[in-house]
Amino acid sequence: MAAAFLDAGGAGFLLLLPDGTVAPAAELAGLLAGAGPAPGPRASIGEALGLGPEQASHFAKWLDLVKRRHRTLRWEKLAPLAPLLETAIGTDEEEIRAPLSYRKLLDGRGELAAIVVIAADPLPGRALERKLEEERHGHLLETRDVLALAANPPETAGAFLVDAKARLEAARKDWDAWLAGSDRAGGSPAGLRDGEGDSPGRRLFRELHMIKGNAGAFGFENLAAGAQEAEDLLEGLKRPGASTERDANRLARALGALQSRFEELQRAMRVIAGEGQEAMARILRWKLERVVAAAGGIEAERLDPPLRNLVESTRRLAFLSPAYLARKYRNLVERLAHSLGKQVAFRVASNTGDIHPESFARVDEALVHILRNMVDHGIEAPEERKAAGKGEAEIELEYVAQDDRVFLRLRDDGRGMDPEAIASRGIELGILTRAEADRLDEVGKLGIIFTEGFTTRREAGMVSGRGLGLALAARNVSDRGGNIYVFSRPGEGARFAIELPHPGRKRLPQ
Amino acid sequence: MPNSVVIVDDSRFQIMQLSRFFSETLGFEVAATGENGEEAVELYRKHTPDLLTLDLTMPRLDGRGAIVKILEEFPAARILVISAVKGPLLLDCLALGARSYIEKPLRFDKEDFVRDFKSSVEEILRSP
Repeated sequence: MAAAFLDAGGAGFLLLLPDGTVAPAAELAGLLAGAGPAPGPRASIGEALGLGPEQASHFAKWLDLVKRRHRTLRWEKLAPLAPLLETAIGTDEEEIRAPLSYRKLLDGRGELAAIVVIAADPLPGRALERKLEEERHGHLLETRDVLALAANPPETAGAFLVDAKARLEAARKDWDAWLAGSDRAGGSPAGLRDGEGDSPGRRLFRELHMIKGNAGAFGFENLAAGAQEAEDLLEGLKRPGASTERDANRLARALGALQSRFEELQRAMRVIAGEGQEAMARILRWKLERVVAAAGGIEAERLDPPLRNLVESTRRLAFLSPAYLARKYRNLVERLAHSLGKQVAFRVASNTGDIHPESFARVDEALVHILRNMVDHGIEAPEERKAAGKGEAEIELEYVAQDDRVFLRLRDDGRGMDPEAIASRGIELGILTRAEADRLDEVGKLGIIFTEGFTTRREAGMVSGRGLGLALAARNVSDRGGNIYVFSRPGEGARFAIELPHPGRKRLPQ
Repeated sequence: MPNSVVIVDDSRFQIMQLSRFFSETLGFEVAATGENGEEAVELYRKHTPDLLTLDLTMPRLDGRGAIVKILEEFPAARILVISAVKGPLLLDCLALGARSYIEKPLRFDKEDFVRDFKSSVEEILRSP
């Protein structure tokens, strides 16, 4: 609690009278003139400074010594002996110690009239602290944006930046359109108000809103905050009777700031994704993937040779490296694991440097379902792993191209599955009968997990557990002409395998 | 004739430091040194120096007790407290009649400390 004599900034002084009571600063002039203290009830120094009994008695001793010795002992010797050299100001959350200093005040006869207790103004220090705090906050937001860049695959982040750039350009155009608008002459930003049709104001609002939403979704908090600020200012301008010139200038500044935050992000993107050409190449690859995916859906055999060649070469354009795959799925695994309080190391292995992207484009859904299942169900909580003497959890994705087949194998070292328990649960859920279960071998019993409606969990989990994921994975694989297998034993982790026809070696054009 | 000083401190090292400072820098004659309050009283009686420096926390009789005894016998004794103690005990000693104080640690390497030390000694010697 701040002592009452301090102003809002924590500065001020009071007068300590020789009798141990205090007088307000206003009486200073009277004391100097030798008028003596004004009559009336006074607080003791202990009360004024909020001292405990021990400190109060210490203070009394000091005052006594000052009265007796202030003529013979230098003030430089007496002042440092005062028991209280600082006082607390500010709120409970933000306590600041304001230094206290003491001066003796003699009246016209050279007698001790009062001791002036001065709380130094801590404001300059506080202002500096606040400024530093703001800077720290700004750095934090910027850092988060950069982290968001790193957390999103460069292709995704690149796509976002391309989109945001277009929107910022559109916003600028809308802004210019408004500035050039005739209603500006009247000083009223009517063009920015919610009006009929497609006014620049409405378009500007929409672009800002989209930038904010997208930036937020990708974790670019700094950019989202900038868009929010501009959006708020725009909202303010739309209110009837809003002052125009000043608010419009503020909005212009906010838009400028948003633009520079965006450019900052672009620079960071270049640092993370690689300089210039390389970053462009990655973004290009992302676009290419879409073309390749579209080409994958074309029955090339039916096309005329020139078109067929185009489609086939398009398909071969985008071979993937294991590192690319690793990045793509590692992100997923790590996010899931983090949300469940688990730690999982994700590895990709491959027997070739050229991974055909179609394999993954086709069964991407299945892979995602299986990975979710592994992280959610297979991998144990850290304590459980520790108790079982296991180290950090691992999930491995292996890509094996063999003759005309491709195998995608997923392996975890989690708690594994018990074929018998799966079968019992299947019977319990009415998926199969006891007699049917008895006819199945281990692999067959484990295969029950691919049945729609199968779940080991009584309630749906956040990540998976509605009994649909693995069924969807299986359907996805069979739709692509492939097979899915699972093998597991309790305590020994789980292995899933997806077998697909090799997309590049079906019937290559001669 | 140089001023005389009796130095009492329970640390021999600090006695040595103080002796050197008084003799070399302030031109005093160090009449005697002691290590506790009882010695302080005896040595004061024996030498009646111009100045007695006194530590406060000492074995046997402490500094405060020594001040009381010495001032009882010699009300004009000039006593300089040299101590790390700065709370109510120091206030007591000054109220009892110690003339001034020097705060430990002894920082003879610091200009400010030396200046303050000199001023304190001069002030005490000027006073009756």
